[in-house]
Amino acid sequence: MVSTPIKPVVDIGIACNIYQSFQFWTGLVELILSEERAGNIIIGKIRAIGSALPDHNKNSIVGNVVKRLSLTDANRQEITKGFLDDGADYLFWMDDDTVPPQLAISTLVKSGHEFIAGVYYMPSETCYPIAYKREKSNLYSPVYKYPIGALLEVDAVGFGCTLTKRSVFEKIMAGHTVYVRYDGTLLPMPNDRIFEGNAPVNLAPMIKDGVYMESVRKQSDDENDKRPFPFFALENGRTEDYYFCELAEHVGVKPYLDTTVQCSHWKLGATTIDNYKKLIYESENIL
Amino acid sequence: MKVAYVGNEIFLPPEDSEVDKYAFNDLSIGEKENEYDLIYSTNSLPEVERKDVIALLEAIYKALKPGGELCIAVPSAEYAGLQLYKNNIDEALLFMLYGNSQGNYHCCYTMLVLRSLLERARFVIKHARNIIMELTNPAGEKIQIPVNEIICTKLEAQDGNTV
Repeated sequence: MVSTPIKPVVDIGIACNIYQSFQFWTGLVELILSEERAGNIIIGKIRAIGSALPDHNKNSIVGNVVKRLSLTDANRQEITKGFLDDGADYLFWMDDDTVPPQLAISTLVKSGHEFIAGVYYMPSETCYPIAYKREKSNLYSPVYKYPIGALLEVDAVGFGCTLTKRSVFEKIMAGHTVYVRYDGTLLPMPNDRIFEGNAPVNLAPMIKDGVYMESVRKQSDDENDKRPFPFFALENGRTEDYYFCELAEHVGVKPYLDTTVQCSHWKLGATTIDNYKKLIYESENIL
Repeated sequence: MKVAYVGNEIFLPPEDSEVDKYAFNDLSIGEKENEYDLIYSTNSLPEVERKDVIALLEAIYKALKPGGELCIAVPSAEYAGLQLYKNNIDEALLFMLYGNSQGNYHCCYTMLVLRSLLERARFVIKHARNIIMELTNPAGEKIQIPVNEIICTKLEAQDGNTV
């Protein structure tokens, strides 16, 4: 008897702006059609927050369709909540200006990595890949000068073409305790960095002997606080994807970058691997 | 853990492993089925005649246990090409392109070509990166060469059979 392999179900999450180029739509349709034809995965729902997807929702294919009312981190939070409340195995993130190549999703699924991204580039000079290594200063710098075809472990990736397995979200939630900061915002703290003791209550943020301190309380102590786990936050001038990557790193999951999955990044024109090649040739003084 | 070397033994095997050794082009490794947890092929593939490359990779795939890993490394063709373009010819570059008196190279592989060949032999790529490898030349001198290193695996199907 031949058993039929179970195909993974992948939701697509799009969280960004209102307006897209027609090239984005063509690319998105080509991506979905290519996956349908190949049949390696099942596309679950397209979860678009803040995009211009029409609210027809025929056959329940399109879920979580909401016009942009909030920032990208909140949009990603809502997409993630919809994904976790539903049954798909993976969430594939793309932006509404990135066009992944055909079969991008199944290529990333096939890698076996639970957190893996394709490559897209900064849309203006300098066109670095949107993938980063952390420096000794704890700040990030772009990863580049790799050979095309490399599949690298990195420290952070943009979410314009990124696959996350359900297990990544589950590990992050299991490995963190959520606290409410003095200002009411949420703070997920790795469990191994929590040391209970007699701390002052309602201590406003302060610095003592070079150590930052403030009172926090567990979110779970307030049964009326129903805010979802904070997977994404725009803070300290950084985008929300760094925040997620650092949460994942706390629980031992680092993102991979598959440089065979090459996206175009659309503004008025497309930024592609050709722009990256030009950058490399110029840095090697061969152009 | 059962380990096989195909060609050079540059990397040390994990402790307590049982090690088998094969020549760089020895297709007889394919006679062992699902035998090895880890197989190394370091700077050996360029020595293999191009017509035999796929057959060798398929033999290695067969010999690997499901879930086992192949660690393969070859001199970086991208780096060699760049040095040629810049006319930076030295001993390391000549070795990367042509091998040495102990083994002539038939081919130089880019990362993308090596990856494509491995995927054609049904391996799943886990890691593909540039590393610097330090080798000793016949005169006993150390030379450093950039290599394309790929770690790939043989997957298990959900019904327990190999994919």
